[in-house]
Amino acid sequence: MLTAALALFALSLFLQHEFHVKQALLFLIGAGLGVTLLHAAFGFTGGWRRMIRERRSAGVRAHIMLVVLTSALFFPVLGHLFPGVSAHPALAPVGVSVLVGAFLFGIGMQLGGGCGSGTLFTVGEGQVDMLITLAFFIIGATIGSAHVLWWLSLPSLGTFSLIDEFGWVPALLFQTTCLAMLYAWSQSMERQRYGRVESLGFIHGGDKKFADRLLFGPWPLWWGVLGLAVFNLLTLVVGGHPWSITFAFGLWGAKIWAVLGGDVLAWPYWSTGYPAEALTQSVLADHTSIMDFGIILGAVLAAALAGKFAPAGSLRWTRVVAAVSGGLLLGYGARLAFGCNIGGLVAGIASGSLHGWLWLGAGFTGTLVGVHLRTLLRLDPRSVRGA
Amino acid sequence: MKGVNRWIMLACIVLAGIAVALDHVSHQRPNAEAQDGAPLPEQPEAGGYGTASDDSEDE
Repeated sequence: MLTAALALFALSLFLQHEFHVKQALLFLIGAGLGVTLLHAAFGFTGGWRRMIRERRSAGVRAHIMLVVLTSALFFPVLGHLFPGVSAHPALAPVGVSVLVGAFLFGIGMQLGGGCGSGTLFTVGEGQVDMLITLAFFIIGATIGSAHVLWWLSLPSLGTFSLIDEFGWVPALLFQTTCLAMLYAWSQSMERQRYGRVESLGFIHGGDKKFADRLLFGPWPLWWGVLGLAVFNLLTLVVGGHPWSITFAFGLWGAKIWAVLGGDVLAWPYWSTGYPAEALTQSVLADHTSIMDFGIILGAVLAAALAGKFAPAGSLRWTRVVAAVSGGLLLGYGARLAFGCNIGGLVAGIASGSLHGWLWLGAGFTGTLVGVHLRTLLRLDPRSVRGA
Repeated sequence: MKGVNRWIMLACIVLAGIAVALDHVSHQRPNAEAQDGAPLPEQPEAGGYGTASDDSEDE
């Protein structure tokens, strides 16, 4: 625990000295995200799977609440209510690329055992099998960067911003209404089966004092929602863009490929714009990379505080196969879909971009397929598979 | 098994740290201005947000 805390402190000082205070702040925001994700056990993969298999909706409702709250924080900023704050929305074209990418990502996150944020915080928790997922996530993102321009040449409706079209207040009201309907629908599914719904305030681990729970966890889901939304807002204000994860994976893979002798600069994706700039700079100059490092170290710290770093577990060959194939699909899908569940779905919808909604539909459909594949590969205990 | 997992994780973290350090020293500092506290070039696409003319971005 002390090592993790010292590493966080030292690296933030280093970033401030070598680059700019902004880099250090983004790194610390990443660490805060890592602590939040781990203590609240906040992942999309398990929540969506429980909804599909068991009709338990707490996870899905927490995700909806996260999008609602993040939108409520983002829309005024992106709608220029605060002229002094310069922030860019996560806008992307609504097209085949997002449709296919999010669908593949949805399959991948069930096979790989984690989404973008889930993979990072479970690696930080010390789950060795997730290292395999992360490694192939990086490979998939790198391959995706080689193909993405072809995918982007397929039919697309272009970008569509609800904020630009309707103004931020009507757009926020409209979007919140849609999300409230989704929330009510998921709640009714659970109530139909069980007669009652699980609360987002449910806490594992019995009674604890507030300070003990805050420091050592576990947190109720709604603490996770609050923490992620606030840290996402801080990212928007400090970094000038919403929280995202997977651009860094492609960057790391491209840098590794270049070290191995690959001519990455010849790939169109890495030859212009920000990707080309990022490739020729230190990885520590890239916002997404330092936030990802922060998430992993934050999760290491939180896992150490909770006394659950590096849980025991052995690897079956089916789990390895699933981690490899899942990781590849996650990386490839994220590149095509303009990001993962965080950069594509949450940031997209919270920016008022229509591609975020397409991501949601395609990603959930892919998850349906992925959950069936998990059953075929017997990745879950029998009691869970049969539920 | 728990002990083995812990050592594997720690080894990976150390290796990743070495890789990042090597990458950092192999590149020049981003710009001299950064030392003076001047902002780095804006990174609106740091997360890869694409525009219509720059669709190669992600997220």
